[in-house]
Amino acid sequence: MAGTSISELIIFIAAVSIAAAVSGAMITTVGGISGSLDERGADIASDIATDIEIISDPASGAVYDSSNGEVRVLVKNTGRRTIATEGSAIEILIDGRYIPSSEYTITVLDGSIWHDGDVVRIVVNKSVTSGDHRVTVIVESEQEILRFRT
Amino acid sequence: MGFSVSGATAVIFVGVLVSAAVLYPAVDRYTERRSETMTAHHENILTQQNTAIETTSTTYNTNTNRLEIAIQNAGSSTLAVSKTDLLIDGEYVGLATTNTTVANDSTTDIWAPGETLTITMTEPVPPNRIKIITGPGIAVTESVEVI
Repeated sequence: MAGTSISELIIFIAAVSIAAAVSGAMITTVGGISGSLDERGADIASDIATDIEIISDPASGAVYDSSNGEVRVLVKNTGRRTIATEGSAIEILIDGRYIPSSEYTITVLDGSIWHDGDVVRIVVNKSVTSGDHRVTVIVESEQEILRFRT
Repeated sequence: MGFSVSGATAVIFVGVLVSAAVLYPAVDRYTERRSETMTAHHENILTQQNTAIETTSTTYNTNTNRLEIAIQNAGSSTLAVSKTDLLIDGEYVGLATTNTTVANDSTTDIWAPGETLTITMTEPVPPNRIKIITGPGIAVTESVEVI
């Protein structure tokens, strides 16, 4: 009789322990999913609020400076959030080729921070041959293309 | 055996309740944030669609070296003068309140539908073309008439 009670007690403790372990794992996993969901929500919100427009006038001849071998692009922040101009927030492609950040400079015109409505000048130190060319400016998932000829 | 099953079920049930309590606010925040952002994004698109500008005159006077640009807000959204940009021959020119007027008011930032924004600049040489860019990104390019 006493043996049966001890057996049942052991089985009870084992069952509850396993259930507690399963519950603990489930709570930890769900906590992780919640955190990821929060981060994903913030990323999507930031992505949707980001919008840019290349405002350079390609027919003016001001996009390419042949004497200095520079491609100059004016980009306006038409979204609803401030965009960082440092680090890897902005990426540039010329004719589909990636330009490392060491080869271009970004200057915020009329200010120091790229608020919505503000314009930045991107100067890329790159000589291009005469003909048709394409500059791509990428900010997060937003991408704008300017086609120009030299 | 009966106690073991009941005890385990109770513990699992508590775990499910706690998990639901943790997950629900996160899902709620996610959907609310996404919905708010999408609404604002749709408003932005609507503003862009309702924005239109037309240049009524772009003249350069060689006697006074003055470039005068008159642009009408031909859309239905109200624009901001401070968020309007000007390019002269592709070069960015910052607009100051001293050289912009809307309906003869040089202090206002409001450029309402139907109103004309007049920009007056002093340029040493006659420019060939200008480009006006509004806050929502709608732009117009025009050749300069030299008189």
